[in-house]
Amino acid sequence: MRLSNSRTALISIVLLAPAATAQSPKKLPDGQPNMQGTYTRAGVKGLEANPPFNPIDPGEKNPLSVSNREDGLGPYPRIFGQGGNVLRGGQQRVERRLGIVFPEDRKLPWRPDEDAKRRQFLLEMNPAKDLKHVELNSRCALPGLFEGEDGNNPYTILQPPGKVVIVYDYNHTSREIDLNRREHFGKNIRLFMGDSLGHWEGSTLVVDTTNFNGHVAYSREIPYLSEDLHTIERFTMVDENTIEYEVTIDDPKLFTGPWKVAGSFSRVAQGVESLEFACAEGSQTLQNIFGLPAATR
Amino acid sequence: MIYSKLWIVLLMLGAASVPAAAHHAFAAEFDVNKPVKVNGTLTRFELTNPHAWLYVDVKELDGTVTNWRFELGAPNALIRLGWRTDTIKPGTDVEITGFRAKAGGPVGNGRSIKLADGRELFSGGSAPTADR
Amino acid sequence: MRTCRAGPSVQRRLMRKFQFRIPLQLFPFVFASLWFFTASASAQSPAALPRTADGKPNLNGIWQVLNTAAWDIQDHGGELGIPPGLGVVEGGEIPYQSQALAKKEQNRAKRVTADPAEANCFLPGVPRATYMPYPFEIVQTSDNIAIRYEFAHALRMIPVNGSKHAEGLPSTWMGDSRGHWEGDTLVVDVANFNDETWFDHAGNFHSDALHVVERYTMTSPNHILYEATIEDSKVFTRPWKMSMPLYRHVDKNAKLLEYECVFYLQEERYKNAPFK
Repeated sequence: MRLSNSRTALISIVLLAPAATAQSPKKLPDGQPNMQGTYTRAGVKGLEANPPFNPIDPGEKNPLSVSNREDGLGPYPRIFGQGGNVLRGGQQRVERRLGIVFPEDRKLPWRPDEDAKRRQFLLEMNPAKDLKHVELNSRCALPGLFEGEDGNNPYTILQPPGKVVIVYDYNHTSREIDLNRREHFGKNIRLFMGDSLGHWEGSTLVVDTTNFNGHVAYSREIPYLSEDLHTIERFTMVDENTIEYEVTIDDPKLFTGPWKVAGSFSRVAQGVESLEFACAEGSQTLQNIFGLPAATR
Repeated sequence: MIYSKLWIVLLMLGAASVPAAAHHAFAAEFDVNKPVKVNGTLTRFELTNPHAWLYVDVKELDGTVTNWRFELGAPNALIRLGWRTDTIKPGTDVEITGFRAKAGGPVGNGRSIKLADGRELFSGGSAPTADR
Repeated sequence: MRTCRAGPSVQRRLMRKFQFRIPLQLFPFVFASLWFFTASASAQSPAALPRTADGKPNLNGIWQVLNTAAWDIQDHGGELGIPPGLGVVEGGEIPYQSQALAKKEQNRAKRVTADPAEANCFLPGVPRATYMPYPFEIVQTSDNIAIRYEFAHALRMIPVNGSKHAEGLPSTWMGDSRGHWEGDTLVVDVANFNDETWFDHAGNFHSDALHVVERYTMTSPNHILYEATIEDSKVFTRPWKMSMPLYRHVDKNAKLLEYECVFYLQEERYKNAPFK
């Protein structure tokens, strides 16, 4: 059977089409707009203006830097960074607002003494002065915010009645956004992922999160945010395959005002499933930095 | 499976350059002042998270054999591209360059991995089929 | 249970109808009880199960076991730090192959340092994740059920979309789960395990040939009967089964918190780092 070129193209498009179809209900039985599905994330993280020197990731001037692409070599072969392309099944990533979007000049409103402290902290991360000065991500800690490293692993959104649950392949993380509870937990409940309360404003999910535990990084250059961190996130489904995302980061201990980071989630190609990402089980990072601790020698 | 073939085609067509998504602070774990290059025989290829690993028997100058391990990136992208632990067979000769772990020992990161015929491993989009 | 206050004339008529005397004070209670039991006699089950919009029993919520299987899935006495408990293995015996039983004893002897979950904070595997002494949450939608465990934020995704096990993927700690409904029972088939996890702190173990079939049957709005059939041709002589009730957390605002075992263990093991 011969297929015309246009039919072949149509079949290719259909085969590669993301999983959402016109049959997906727009609203779920409890009234929530339906955002369910599996997505890959773009953006959300981004460099501040005039980032501090960071000895963990020395930067362009250092020929051995992981950021240097001139010799085509990072710390690992290129293919290990291809995760996002694989998930999107070749669909071009649509360029949307990404990174720090407020303040527009990306100069974050640091409290000067806290900025000085974190610049000093960074200098003590390589060589790592102690366990506390090891990047949280490399300890397989829960990520706290979306900004972090996720190895381009997908996210799955589930919406049972009264909740939005987001499952990250990366480090088998999950967070629950409670749509019915109105009060955060007391100050002695401190969580890596914080305590998230949400509500829908039309087709935007607004999420208010507090009760972080101070072991949350924003980025390599901002290796910790405080227990006073308060985030407000907005998830808006702009089309069947795209959720636009914006987070307001408000940490009054470290900053004089809030700042905002944007990104997006794109639905993955059909057939993409979750894969297990067991992190601590296979990690040798701490022993590569410090050697084996006495208890395990 | 048809999906993987189509993905390979599209990767070649349009893969934007994606920065190597490092799971962690590579430079805190490996010593950029201690580059290493070994030639040896693959004993094991593990597709574990957060890093895949290559284990290689390396003959020292005095004839003793040390089993080195080299850390690679996170494997889930590879798995989705069809890579499996048997994609590279034990007994394959490899040349690996990288940097030694800060804590020392026969541990490094696998920055580039070459086969005996000079082919760069992990360079293309798909898993090599010749070795399977 | 509805209480219904019947007026005095009704009470007198009903007292004449029932030839025995019912103390007047008890009458509303008796009336209400009769009302309740008559109503339920015509229902399918004593208390209707909560159901999702697609008609399935609604397993959404936070659940936990009230047994001591995490320490030992068989009958065991108490020890310092280990509560006594009745076993959850049906028939009591775990049918080890003879050489495998020796390995179990070796595991048990070194369990304080060798237990992958208790000593090393690794993912507990299935079914141990179910009966670790920490709550877990079932997140149920039509196509996917996720189970989030408080211990080490362990996680399982269970597609309920008719898909089969993925072929040829590397083995996993928590298995590859595929679910389907048989009437009101959620059946989950779990395969592609590695050989790294134990069934309990007593050293009961399996190989990478492990295959588990779980059944979640809601027996009342706040109870699930959990059954897990274990097959492993490299370790056991035949399949065997565990079963236990799961109890719903009915506390107001019940929420899964975080038991970040790995982080705590690192803080302990590396507290004096750098070591030189």
